[in-house]
Amino acid sequence: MKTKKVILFLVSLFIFSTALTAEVAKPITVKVNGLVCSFCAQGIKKRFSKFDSVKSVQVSLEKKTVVLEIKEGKSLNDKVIKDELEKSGYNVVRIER
Amino acid sequence: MRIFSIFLIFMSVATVLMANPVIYQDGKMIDVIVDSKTTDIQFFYSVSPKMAVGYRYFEYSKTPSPTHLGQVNLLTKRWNKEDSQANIYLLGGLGVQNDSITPYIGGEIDWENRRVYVSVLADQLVGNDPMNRWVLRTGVAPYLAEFNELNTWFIIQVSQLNSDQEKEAWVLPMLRLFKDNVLLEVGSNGTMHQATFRVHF
Repeated sequence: MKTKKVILFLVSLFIFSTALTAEVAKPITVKVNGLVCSFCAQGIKKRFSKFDSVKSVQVSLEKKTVVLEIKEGKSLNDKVIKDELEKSGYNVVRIER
Repeated sequence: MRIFSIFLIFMSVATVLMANPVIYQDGKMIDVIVDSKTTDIQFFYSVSPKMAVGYRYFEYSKTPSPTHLGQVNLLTKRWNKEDSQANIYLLGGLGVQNDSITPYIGGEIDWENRRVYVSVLADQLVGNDPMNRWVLRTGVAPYLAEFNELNTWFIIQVSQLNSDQEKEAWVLPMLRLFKDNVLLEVGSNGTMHQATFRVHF
């Protein structure tokens, strides 16, 4: 009986911690140079939106950043992010995960 | 007048273009520019972030027929800085006007940040009815708009057009509005008028 309770507790803990991790999954913040015109930067949103792994794309001219929210269980590596921003006409300064 | 000329030269040297003739890779652009003298309709496809190819319909009121051009736009240099961007473009094409071959060459330089921009375009049609233009623009944004907001720019455009039929220069105050992937521009000085519609997709 005690073993069952321990197993049940551990399973509950695992499910809870997984859900918690997914909820607080940190978006990828990319610092970009040359981000001064929203009309010219539309390509960033368009190019990243084509990826199945990307949940949302937020561009900030004030912060000079592109914030990528990735879908649960998916990923997007740094090389792809850098390539896509270069194809959009911009240079990556750094990528923060 | 001399100071103004020096200012124009300085701005020309300092320039980069805000409405880029080359956009993001796989991006398409439709541009319609109509003024009191010309109608310019362009469709371009950016094969890379450094090159766009397209078709252009150019009509000049002093010539009997329009020019149909195949054109290539090259981004030869871009400076992406933390708070600004600058570009140098080369434009080249080959057109047909009234059954004669009409080469086209041009260049564009621009510089911009979120508050100010300057650009200069010089181009030339070489053919039976040659013409060349200089277009210098400088603009200021009255407020700093974010990515998803409506952007507003007040622009002063100085144009000079030289052809066998006329040589004329004029100044236009213009209003530029853009949001998302659509841009609209209107300007008038009472005798000359200009409107631009541009969309990226």
